[in-house]
Amino acid sequence: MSDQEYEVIATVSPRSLGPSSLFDQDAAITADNVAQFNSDPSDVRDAKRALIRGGFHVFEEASNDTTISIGGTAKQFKSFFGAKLTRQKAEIGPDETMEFMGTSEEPAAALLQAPKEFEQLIEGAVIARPPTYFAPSAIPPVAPIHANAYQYLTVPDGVAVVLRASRVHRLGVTGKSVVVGMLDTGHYRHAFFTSRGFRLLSTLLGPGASNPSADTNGHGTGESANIFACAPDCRLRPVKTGNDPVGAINVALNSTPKPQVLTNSWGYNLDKPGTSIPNWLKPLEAAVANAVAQGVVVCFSAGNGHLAFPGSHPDVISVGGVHVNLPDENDFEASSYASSFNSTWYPGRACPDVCGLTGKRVNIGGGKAPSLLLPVQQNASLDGIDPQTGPAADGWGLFSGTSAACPQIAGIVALMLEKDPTLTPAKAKEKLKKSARDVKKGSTANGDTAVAGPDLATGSGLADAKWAYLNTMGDVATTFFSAPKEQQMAMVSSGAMPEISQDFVDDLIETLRSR
Amino acid sequence: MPPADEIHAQLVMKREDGSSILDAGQPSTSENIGQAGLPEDRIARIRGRVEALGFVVSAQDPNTLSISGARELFDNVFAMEPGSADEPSTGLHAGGIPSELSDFVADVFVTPGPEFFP
Repeated sequence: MSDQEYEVIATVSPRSLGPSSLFDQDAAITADNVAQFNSDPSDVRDAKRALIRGGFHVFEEASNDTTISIGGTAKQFKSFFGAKLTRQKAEIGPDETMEFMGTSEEPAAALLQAPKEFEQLIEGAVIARPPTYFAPSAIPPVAPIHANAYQYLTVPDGVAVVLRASRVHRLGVTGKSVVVGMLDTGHYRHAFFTSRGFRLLSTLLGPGASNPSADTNGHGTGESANIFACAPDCRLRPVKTGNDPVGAINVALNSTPKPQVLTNSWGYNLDKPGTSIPNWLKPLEAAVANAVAQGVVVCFSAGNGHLAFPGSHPDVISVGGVHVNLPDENDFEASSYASSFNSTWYPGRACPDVCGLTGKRVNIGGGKAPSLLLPVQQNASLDGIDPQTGPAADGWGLFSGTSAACPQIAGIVALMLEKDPTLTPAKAKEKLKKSARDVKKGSTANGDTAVAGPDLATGSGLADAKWAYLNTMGDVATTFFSAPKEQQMAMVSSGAMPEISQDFVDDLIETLRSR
Repeated sequence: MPPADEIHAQLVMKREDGSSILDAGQPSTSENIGQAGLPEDRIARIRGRVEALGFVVSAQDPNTLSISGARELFDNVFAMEPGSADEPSTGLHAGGIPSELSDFVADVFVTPGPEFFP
C-alpha cells in the first residue's frame, strides 16, 4: 500500500513526560513548553508496536518525539479507536475541494481515545484534515484554450524575452524612477502586480471617471502588465478615463511626479479618406501636441484595423502590431489584427511608426487576437473574453491587440529614458524606429503586406529593446566625450555613463550577431 | 455627490483677438502649440466666469477647460445641441454662447468616449 492509499491519516500522541496531555493543554504550545509533551522513547516504541499490531502503518519520517503519524482504513480506526468516521469535503483552494474521511468536529468526537489496554500509553489521536492552500494567485493561469487558438505569451517574461527587454534588464537597466502615465479604464491591484512588487502610484480620476480602485472592464489593468514586462522598475501612474480624454491627459500632465511617458491604447476610428479632423477633436489634438511640447513621450495604438486618431497625430509614436509565430521567437509577421494606414488628416503621415507584440486574427471570439495572457479584475468584461482561460472569473484574459503593443513600447521608452533622461520625444521615436527589427512577411487588418525594409504594414518593424538601449547609449557616450570635465564626472557618478566592461562589449557583439 | 445627469465637456477658450484652436488653419503639433495657448491670466479670467455660472472646472490646458455640471445647466447656458451631420460621432456642442461669454468661449463639446483596442 502506498502512502497515498491510506483512507485515513491520524496523529497519535503517546503519554507526555509532563503532567498534562497534549490534548488537555489550554495554553499555547510553544518552543518554551513543547518539551513537556515529548514522550519517553520507550513509550514511543511501545505505542508504535501497539499501533502496528492494530494494523496501522506508522509514518516514521513524519513522526517525532511528541507525535506518531499513522495511516489505515476507516474500519481499522473504528476497531482500534472506536472512531465514527464519515466521508467529508474540504475546500483546499478557490473552486477546489478534496474528499477525506473524518470525525465530527465536536471535541468529544474529534479526540480519539485509545482502547483500555493502551490508555496509559496513548493519550489520544486526531484525524488529519486537508488544509486550505493559499495560492499566490486566485487560479493558476493554466488555460484550456479554444482549439482554434494558438500558443500564447505570458507577462512579464514572454514579452520581455521576445522584445529583448530582458537583455537590457540584465545590464541593470529596468526603467528605474521613470514615471509612465497610462490613460485607460482604471487599474485593479491584481496579485500579478502586488506579488512582484511593481510600483503603482495611486490611480487618478479623469473628468467623469469614478471608483479609482476598480477596473470592471479589465483593459487598463491587463494592458499595464505590458509596461512592467519591459520596464519592471518604472512607476506606473494610472489615470482612469471618462468620456473626456482631454481632461484625462491634463490630469496626467499636472500630476506629481509628472509622467515622462504617456501610453494610450485607445482612439477614435475617424481618420478616414474624404474627411478632416472635426472641431470636437481639435482640443484633443492640441492636448496631445501640448504634452509632447512639454517633453513627454506620447505613445498611441494605431488601432485594430481602425484608422485611429490620435494614433495618427504626427507627434505621437504610432504603435502597430507584429505577431510572433511561437515557438520560434524570431519568426515574425505583420499582424492580421493590427492597423496600417496613411492618415488623411495629416498628409504624409504613415501609421504605424513601429510595432509591439500582438495576436493575429483568428476565427474565434469574434475574431479577437488571443496571444497574451493578461491579469484583470475578476469578473471584469475582459475576464470572460473568448477564448476562455479556464473558469470564467479566474482573473485572467487572453487579449492582445495594439492595446498591448502600445504599453510595451512605452516600457521600452522608459528603459531609454532611465539611461538618458534628456531624450526628446522626437529622438525617442527616431531611435525606436532605427533600432527596430525588420518584419518581412504577413499582412495587416487593413491589407498592407510587410516587405523587406520600412513599409506601411509595420513601419520600421518590431521594437528591439536591446538595440534601442544600445542606440541610446551611443548618444550618451557622444555627449560624454564632448562634455566638460565636471559634466563628465556628474555623468559617471550618476551612473548615466557606466564603465564599458568586457561583458558589455561581448553583449554588444552578441546582439549584433543575433539581429 | 454629483447630480445623476451630470455631464462632462470640453470648453474651447478664445484668445484676446477672438481666435481659438478651432480657427487654426493647420494641425496643432508640438511645433506650433506653444504659440496657440492663452496666457495664464486670461485662462484664470475665463475659468472664473465659467465657475461663476455654476460649472465645475476639473482640468485645464492652455486652450481648453474640462467642465462639468448638470445637463440642465449646460442647456440653459449653452443651448446644447447635437453636432452637425458632417462631423462624425459628435455628441453635443454649444448651440449658442451667451453674450457674457462670447468673447471668451469658442465652443463647448460633449464628446463620445474613445474606443479601446484590446
